[in-house]
Amino acid sequence: MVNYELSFWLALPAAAIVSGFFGFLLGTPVMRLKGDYLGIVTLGFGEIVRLIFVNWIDLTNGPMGIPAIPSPSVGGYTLTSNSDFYYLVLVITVVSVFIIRRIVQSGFGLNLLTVREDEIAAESIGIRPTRYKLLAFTIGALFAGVAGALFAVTAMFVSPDSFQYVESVNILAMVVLGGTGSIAGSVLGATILTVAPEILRFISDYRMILLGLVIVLMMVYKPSGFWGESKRKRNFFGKTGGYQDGNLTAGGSYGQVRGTGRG
Amino acid sequence: MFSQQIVNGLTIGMIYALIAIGYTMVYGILKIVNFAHGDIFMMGSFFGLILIRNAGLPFVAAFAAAAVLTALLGIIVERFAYRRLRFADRIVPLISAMGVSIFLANLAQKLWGSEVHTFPQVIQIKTYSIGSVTFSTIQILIVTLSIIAMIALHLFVHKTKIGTAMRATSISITNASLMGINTNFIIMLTFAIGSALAAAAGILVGIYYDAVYPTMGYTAGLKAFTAAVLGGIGSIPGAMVGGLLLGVTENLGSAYIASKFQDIIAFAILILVLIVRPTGILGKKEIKKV
Repeated sequence: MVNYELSFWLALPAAAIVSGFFGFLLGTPVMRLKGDYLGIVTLGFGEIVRLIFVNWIDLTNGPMGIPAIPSPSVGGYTLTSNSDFYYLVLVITVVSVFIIRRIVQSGFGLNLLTVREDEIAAESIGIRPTRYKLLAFTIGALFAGVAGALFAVTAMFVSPDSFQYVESVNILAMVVLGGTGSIAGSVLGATILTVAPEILRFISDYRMILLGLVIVLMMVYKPSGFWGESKRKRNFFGKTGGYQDGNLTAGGSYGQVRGTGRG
Repeated sequence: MFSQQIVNGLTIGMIYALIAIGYTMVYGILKIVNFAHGDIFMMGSFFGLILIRNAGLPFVAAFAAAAVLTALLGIIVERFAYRRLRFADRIVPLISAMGVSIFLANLAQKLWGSEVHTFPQVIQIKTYSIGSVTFSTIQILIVTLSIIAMIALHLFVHKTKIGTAMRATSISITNASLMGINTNFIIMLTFAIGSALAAAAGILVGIYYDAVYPTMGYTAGLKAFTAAVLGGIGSIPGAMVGGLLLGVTENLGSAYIASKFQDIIAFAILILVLIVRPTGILGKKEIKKV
């Protein structure tokens, strides 16, 4: 927006697409890795990108960052106040959550679920795990791009140092707290972790220490989070009818998910 | 210039190797990436610093005491953050480890401030030169201590009864406990040894760079993990080879390409190795069974 004078409404999808593309780029080689290795590679990648951006002064202005990002406008009205931005973020979040819900509940989403439950079973019924994992990765990156663009216009300033490793951990903590594999859980986790520090201001010095402790405690005692899979799964399987007449592969994979009988 | 870079690379490589051993031992036995290991290294460095600067202990005593304290810290971390997750999905202990990492890094920041602490001069630093290569007393100290530690560890793992039990546990925890091995003790011991070595690395690096700070664990941890993966995770000689290789590559890269890319080189190696040969140089292939 600053360099090319794009309107916010063009910059937002552009940011999403570029981020999605990088997600795809990173995802392509790393998809062969399993859970923990994958996690670490993404951390390494995050560091590389940050270091490149810190040193690529021409594009990002290095650690000084890009100031004075123009505010978006809706039909001639330029967003200025905090509440304007609140509604902007709210609307885009609701739309995003709606889109992700549609994705999860589609035949494509069922295939994703199958891959997660059992890769080998998925492969045996013609779902290519790598392809679905890569797509999930890309979609995740896409929405992260949306969030990044929103962050830029709301804060009116970005610098590579706004996105340190701590930020990743904070977001991870949100997911963990709310419950992995659940949209409602992610929203809940994000809300708790953004609101709680405001309420608990008197112990704000200990915020990160507590955050670390909370992550450990959650993993040890309730790894599925407050609104995690078990709850979602029940709802999901409760509404069998709606999903059976999805597309063919979806119907097939649905049976398989039940067949593998986890949870 | 070239040989000087090699010497500097080997020095820092020894440090990476010492930290990497902790990663590799824990991975070898529990198959989890102890992501908090970098922060245990940082805590070790601080323990050493505090014992020397504030408690005024002599260097050798402080070194040993810091190693013991850090070993205890490692045991505590295992007990509270990992033990219950021993049979959980592999991503669960990794996230738990990140929690520990955040906890320790911020605890250190709270206790000792976020500034960079300098290390008091504990040993007479002299520089020697052979031809065009110069090296300091501290470099000699790092290399000698690391080599001694590694040989001792190798003998311990291969020549003692506990070492045998350790290797048995790394093959199968269940079967080892059926053979009468106290696997909880072995796992505790693994964490203790790894953490003590990390503390040694922390103190040495603190003296070498004359800097100790709460966030030093993250980059060092990630690099040591790279070293462990490069050498073949789960293999102790692999950690040594990986550490030295990483140290040298990184130094040559920063000397001949660009110094600001030093960290990028390490992480690029990590990603490359994981993609091309996830078993590393000396690692064993893991066979995926249906």
